[in-house]
Amino acid sequence: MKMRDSFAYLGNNMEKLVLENVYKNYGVVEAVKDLSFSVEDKEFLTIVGPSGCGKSSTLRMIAGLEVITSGHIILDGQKINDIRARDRDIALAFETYALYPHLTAFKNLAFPLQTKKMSKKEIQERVEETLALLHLGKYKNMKPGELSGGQQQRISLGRALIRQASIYLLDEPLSHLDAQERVDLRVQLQRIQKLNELTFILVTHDQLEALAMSDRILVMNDGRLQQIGTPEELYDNPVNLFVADFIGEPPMNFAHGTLVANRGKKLTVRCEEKAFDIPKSLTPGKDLASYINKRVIMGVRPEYIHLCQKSHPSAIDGRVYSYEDLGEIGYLMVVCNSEKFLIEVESGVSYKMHEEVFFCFEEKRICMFSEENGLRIL
Amino acid sequence: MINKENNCIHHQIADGEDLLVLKNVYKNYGSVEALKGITLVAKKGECLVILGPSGAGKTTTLKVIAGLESVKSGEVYFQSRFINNLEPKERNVAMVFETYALYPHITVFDNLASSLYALNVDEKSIEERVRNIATMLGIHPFLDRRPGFLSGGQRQRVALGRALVKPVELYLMDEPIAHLDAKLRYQMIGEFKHLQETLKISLIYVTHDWREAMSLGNHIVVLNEGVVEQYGTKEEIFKRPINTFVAQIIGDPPMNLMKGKIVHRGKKSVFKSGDIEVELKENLEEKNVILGVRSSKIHLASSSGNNLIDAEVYSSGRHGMNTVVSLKIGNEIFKTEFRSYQKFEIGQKISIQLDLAGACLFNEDEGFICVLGE
Repeated sequence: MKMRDSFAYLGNNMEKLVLENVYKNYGVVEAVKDLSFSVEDKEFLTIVGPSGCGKSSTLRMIAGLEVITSGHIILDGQKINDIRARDRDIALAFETYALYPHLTAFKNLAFPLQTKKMSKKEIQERVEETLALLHLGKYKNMKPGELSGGQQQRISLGRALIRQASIYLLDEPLSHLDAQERVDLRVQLQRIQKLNELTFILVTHDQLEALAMSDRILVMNDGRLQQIGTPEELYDNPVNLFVADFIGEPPMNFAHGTLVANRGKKLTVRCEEKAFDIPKSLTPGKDLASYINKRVIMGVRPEYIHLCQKSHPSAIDGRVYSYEDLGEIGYLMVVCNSEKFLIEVESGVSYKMHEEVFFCFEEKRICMFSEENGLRIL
Repeated sequence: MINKENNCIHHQIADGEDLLVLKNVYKNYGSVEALKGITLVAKKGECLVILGPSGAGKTTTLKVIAGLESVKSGEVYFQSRFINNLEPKERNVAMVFETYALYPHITVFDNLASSLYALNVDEKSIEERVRNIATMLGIHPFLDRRPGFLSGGQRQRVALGRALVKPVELYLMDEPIAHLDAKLRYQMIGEFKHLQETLKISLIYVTHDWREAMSLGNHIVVLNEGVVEQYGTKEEIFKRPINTFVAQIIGDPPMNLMKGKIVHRGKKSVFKSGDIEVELKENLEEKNVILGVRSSKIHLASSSGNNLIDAEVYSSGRHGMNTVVSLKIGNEIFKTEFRSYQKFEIGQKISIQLDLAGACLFNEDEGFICVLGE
């Protein structure tokens, strides 16, 4: 394992938090494997992945609630591996609320401030302000037991945000809210983070939430970092099949086939009776020789498939399986070979079941993955 | 308030294709009124979606139709026959619940066939019907397995298959895909739609999800607190919502609403809200109104044009390849999506244009006035 001197990070204002080759084992189970990434100052980073991917363990290690098995965690240029949780300059909000049951909402928020020698007036102001931001004003005199799960979760979130800390760690902070509240609070969270120039690391299983709020997103699966990047990078340039499939709703379409080189070195993917041409514009600088005659998976998002005329040079024919008109857009499901493609189309058009339609892929938006290891090859 | 109980339903009740009719149905649980005068029609060969938030009375309505709940007052007709007093098993309906309750100890095949065994159908017909439905649902490779060995999505399809195997006139489904993960839901909606149109089955489908409602429903009935807010074709519900509740239940982001008033400027009618003035093509009387504009009709102003509106970016993020933005316009927050990657800073001032074709006007009491630009 590489060992680097944490001094390298001293004086670098951009990097708020650095994880270097971090591992976490629970007995023989490796929950987090060789995780390295950094978070910039004033950045909103979201860690996203399916349940069991290691995202919460990662957050708990940063918080100091879990001992790391090996590796380094560096906050503000200082290695914090051995610093106790309460001595780290970190604010936390967890999915389970852990509120004081005998205190009102107001006092639950005021509590962390009272230990900081703030004046009563100042505390009053900050608590009122935070309650308003989280739409909790009218519940301030109620105790946790009298509030719904969603309301309790917002208080728990407020209690983390009201503190002054170097970094804020939020674990599924919106999971118990109903759909409308969740959308509203995404907006509020982003505003709180940006307007106060805070550094946020938020953990969620919901990729829509990650795309909606974050500056950058880190995708984890099976204890490993899959990709870290801006929402646009993850959406348009996933590094592997997992990220391609995990990010995006409705999901990316996939076609399984064999990569074949024709005369004139033209590449096609042969899927059962159909052949999808690989546009020449995609291949310069790519060495695909080792994938010829191997199984590959083509991926295209529903927005990047367009209906076209039969005469279009790369027209693919399929048959209408179902059509949904959502008022402003529609989704057409088309059967091609034994696979189904979901295509985003205009609304207000009617399609007959089993009708023949032609479609083509937006050239620059085609992804190709190796079926063997899921790596992006094009 | 507008009269919610009778809007635009009665002319359709006379239609010959009506399969199931509820007339002014009330249902109480103790002192709680769960249904307060529900009137609706389900047509033969169509999908009727019951859409509403939790507590609206959706599941209660479905149970009344299935005969699992008795009504306090009102009438239930099935194929023009009064069935208030009919037992569930005499009603010729099959119901799929959100929880799928499969028999864990028998195979998928036997789970599917279980409802036919009770009907004394001969073995060959059972075999044929089960295999047909299983193939259509893509569960034919698992017929010999037990439910415990299947994924959530596969089990849901088995539950669906078990209802569909039963040869009945009307299928009732209560949030059948609500607890599947998001990706599987997209696939299942397509499958449902295909199945319903291929088999031409009659279906009543309960959901809280507008997308499922718009995808599957030929007609939609919007319920809220035990009352029908609107009954209509999905186009009517989308384009001519009868009040702001219906306007906002469909769409993501939901329709944006702005309070203001109609004033006259010379010969023109103008919608005015604070400093914002938008010229209308229609001639309307001066009064207080609410303007409803869907997200897709809000555009970034590219050059100087008519009806420019100043807005401040309140927050922004991504939704797939779209940019989701909340905009502060006057005192209202508008939510919209632009169809490209745009970079916005909080507090940034931008200029937008409203395309008013298709926008809705509502009275102050939230009732529908008209669609603009028609």
